Amino acid sequence: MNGPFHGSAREARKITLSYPHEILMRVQKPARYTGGEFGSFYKDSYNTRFCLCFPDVYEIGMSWSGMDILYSMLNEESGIYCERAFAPWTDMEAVLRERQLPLTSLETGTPLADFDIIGFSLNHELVYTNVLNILDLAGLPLLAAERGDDCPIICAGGPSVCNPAPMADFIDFFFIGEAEAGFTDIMKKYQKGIKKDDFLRSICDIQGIYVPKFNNSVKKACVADLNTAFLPKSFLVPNLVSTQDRAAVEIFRGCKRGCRFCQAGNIYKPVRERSIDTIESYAKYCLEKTGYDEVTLLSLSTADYSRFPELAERMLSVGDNISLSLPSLRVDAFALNVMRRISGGRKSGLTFAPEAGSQRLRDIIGKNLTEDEIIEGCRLAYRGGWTRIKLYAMLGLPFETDEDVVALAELAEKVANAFFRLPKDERGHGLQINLSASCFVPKPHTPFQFVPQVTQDELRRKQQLVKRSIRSKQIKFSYHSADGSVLEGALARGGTETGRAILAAFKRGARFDSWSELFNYGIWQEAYEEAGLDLEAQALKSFEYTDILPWDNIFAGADKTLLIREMEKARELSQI
Amino acid sequence: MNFHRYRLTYAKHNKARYIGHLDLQTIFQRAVSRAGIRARYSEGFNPHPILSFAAPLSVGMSALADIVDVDIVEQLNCADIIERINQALPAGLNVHKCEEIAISSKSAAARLRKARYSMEIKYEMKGAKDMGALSLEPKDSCASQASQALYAAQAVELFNKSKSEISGLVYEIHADGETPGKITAIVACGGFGNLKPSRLAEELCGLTNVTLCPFSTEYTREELELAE
Repeated sequence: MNGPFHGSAREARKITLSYPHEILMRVQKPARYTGGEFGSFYKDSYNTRFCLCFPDVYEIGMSWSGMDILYSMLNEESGIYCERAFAPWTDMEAVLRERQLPLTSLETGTPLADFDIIGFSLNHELVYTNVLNILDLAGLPLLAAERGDDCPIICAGGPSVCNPAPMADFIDFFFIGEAEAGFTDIMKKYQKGIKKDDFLRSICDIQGIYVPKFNNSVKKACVADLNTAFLPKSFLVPNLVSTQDRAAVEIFRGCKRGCRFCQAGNIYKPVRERSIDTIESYAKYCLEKTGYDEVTLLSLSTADYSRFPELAERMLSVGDNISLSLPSLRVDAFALNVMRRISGGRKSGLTFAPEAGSQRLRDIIGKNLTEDEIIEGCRLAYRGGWTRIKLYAMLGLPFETDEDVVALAELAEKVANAFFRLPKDERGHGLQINLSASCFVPKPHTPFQFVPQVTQDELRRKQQLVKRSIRSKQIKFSYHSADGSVLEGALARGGTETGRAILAAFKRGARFDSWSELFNYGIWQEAYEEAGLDLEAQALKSFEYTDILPWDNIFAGADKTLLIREMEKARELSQI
Repeated sequence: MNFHRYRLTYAKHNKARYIGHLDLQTIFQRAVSRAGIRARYSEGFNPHPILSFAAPLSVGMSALADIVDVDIVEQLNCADIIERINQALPAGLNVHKCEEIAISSKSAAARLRKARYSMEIKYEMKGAKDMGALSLEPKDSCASQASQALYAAQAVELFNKSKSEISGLVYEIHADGETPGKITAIVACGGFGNLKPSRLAEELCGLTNVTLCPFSTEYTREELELAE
C-alpha cells in the first residue's frame, strides 16, 4: 500500500526510528530527527528513492512553503518515494560523528547514501557549508567528480542556484526555476542502474536543467498559469510546533515593482496571479487538512494583488476561529480597516520598508514609496490606535552618501514626530519605532549585480552614523552583521573557484553560517586564503557590462541588456 | 453553550515519544480540528479548542494510557470519536478509549494522585557494590528472586523514612527478578505530589551504588490513577 498513512492504518505498520532511542535522548529537540508527522508518506513499492534535503534545522525547513509542494508532488507519483532530511544541529552532528552513524531520512531511517537521488533546496548562500556537511555525514565524497555510479545523484534547486557556479563542484545537476514546471518529469526519467553520466545527458536539454559537467546554457523552468500549477493535496504538520505554523497560500508569483536591488523580483518574473476563487477555496482546504488556525497570503507584495480589496474581503470570512495574516501590506486607510478587523482590536506592529532614508536614494534603487506615503500611513495608524512601527532599510546601497545615511535616522524621527504632533486624545501612548537596517548585498540577475559591495569598516561607520543621528528615545535601531553580509556577497557573486573556499571553510568547521551564534568570519577568511582567494576582494569586486559573469549562461527571467539599462537609469538618477 | 465532555485515553510511543508536552497540546488541538470534531473553543484573541491533559510527560518517555479531556459542542458516539481522531493523529499517538463524563466532574488533572511506571534501568558498575538494598543484578536462585522483592519493599520503606525529597512519594516498587534493572513502580503524580521516574531511577541506582545511564534508560507510564 502506498500513500499518506494516518491513525490506525499506519499504526499497524512497523515504524522505524531514524536513530536508536539512546542517540535521540542525547540531543536537544529529538523530534527534529524522528519524523512521523501527520501527512508523512510511507511507501512499500517505488522505482526511485528521492531524499529532499533542507540544509537548515527542521523547524526552518518545515516552515518553508516549497516543502509541501515538492513532497506532495513527488509522492503523488507511484514510482517515486520522496523522504526528508534536515541539517543536524551541532549536538546531533557531534553524536553522529562520535558513533560513526550515517545521516538518515526521517520517514524510514534510511541512510542517505542508499537513495537514488538527493536534492537540496538552497534558499540562500549561507547554507552552502551545511550541504557539504550533510553529504559528509552521508558518507559520500563531497566533489561530484569523485562520486561514482554507486553514489546517489546529487541535485540542487532554489533561489540561490540562479548562480550555480559556487556549488558547481559538489552538485551533479541544478534545477533552475520552479519545481512545478517539470521537476517530477526529471525524476521519472531516472531508471535503476542507469549510469550517472547517461542520466545527466538524458536530462541536460530539458528546460531548467544545468549540468556543471557539460556547462550548458539554461533557461529557467517556469509555470505559465498559477491557476493550473500543481497544488499540494496533503500537508506535513510538524511535530515541533512553531509560531510559523500556518496555512500559506501563494496569491501571485513575481513582482510588479522594479526594485533594482531585489533578486526575488527579478528571478520570479513574470507576474502571475492566482484567482480569488482558487485562493479562497484552497485556503479553506489547507485549513481543513492541517488543523491550523491561521492562514497567510504569500507573495512578494500582498497589496499589489490586482483585486486586493475583494481578496481581503473574501479572506476575512474564510472560517470561524481562523486568523488571517497579510504580510507586506501597503499602509493606507483600507489596509488599516482590514487589519483592525483581522486582529479583533489587538494592535500588532505596522511595518514599512522604505529601504533607504532619502527620496533620492529610493529613486535610485527603484523603491516606489514616498516619504509622504509613509508619514500619512503612520498618521492614519496612530489615529487608529497603533503605536508600534517597524521600519526596514538597507545600508551600503550603491551611490549612497552620508546625507542619505543620516536621512534614514531623520526619516525615523519624522515618523516619531508625526505621532507627537497629533493631539493626545487622537492617539495611543507608548510609541515604539524599530528601525532595522540590513546590509545591501549585490545579487546575480539584478541591475545591481555589477556594483561592488562596501567594506565592513564602511558598513560599520554607516551603522554608527545612523545610531548617532537618532535623538528620540522611542526609536530603537538594530542592524545586521557586516561580516555575514560580506560573506553572503562573496558567495552570491562568486564563480566556480568559490567552491574551493566553501570546501575549505567546511573542513575548518563552518556550519550554519546564517546563525549568528555559530558564524565564524575568521574561518572564512582563512578558507578563502587557502583557496588562493581574497574574501573581501570577492565581495568588493565590480563587473563591467562587457564582462562575462559566472551566471551569464543562466537565463533567470531578466535579460542582461535590461539589467544594464536599469543600472544606467540608477546611475543617471544618482547624478541629478 | 451546550457541550459534552469526553475523556480520551491514549498511547504515546515510538516516534511520538519525542514530542514535548506543549507541542503535544497543539498537536491534539490540530488533530481535533482535522477530525472535524467541533470542540468548545476558548475565548480571547487566539481561540483554540479547550483540551485538558491529566499530566505532562517528559520527552522520550512512553505512555500506554495517558488521559485528556475534550469538550465537544455536540453529542457523538464514542467509537466514532476514537475512529476520527486516530485518523488525524501523527504516528505513535493513538486514542484507545473514550467515555463521556459529567460536565460537573472534576478535571483529570485535579483528580490525579498516582502513576505506575515500568522502567528498564540501564546502568554501569562503579567500584565495589553496596550489598545493602535493592539489587539490580540478576539472581540465580529462586531464593534471591524472593529477596529482590524484599529489597524492593525495603527500598520503599527506606525512601519514605529518609528525609530526602522523594520521601512519601514512592508507593510500590516491584523488581522483575529476571532482567536486571527492570522495575515497576507506583509513585505520586499530579499536583498533590509528583515524582519523576527518572528521579526514582537515580535514587535506586544510588542505593545499589551503580551509575545510571540516563540516555538509554527507558520509561513507560502504564497507568494514571485518579482519586474519586
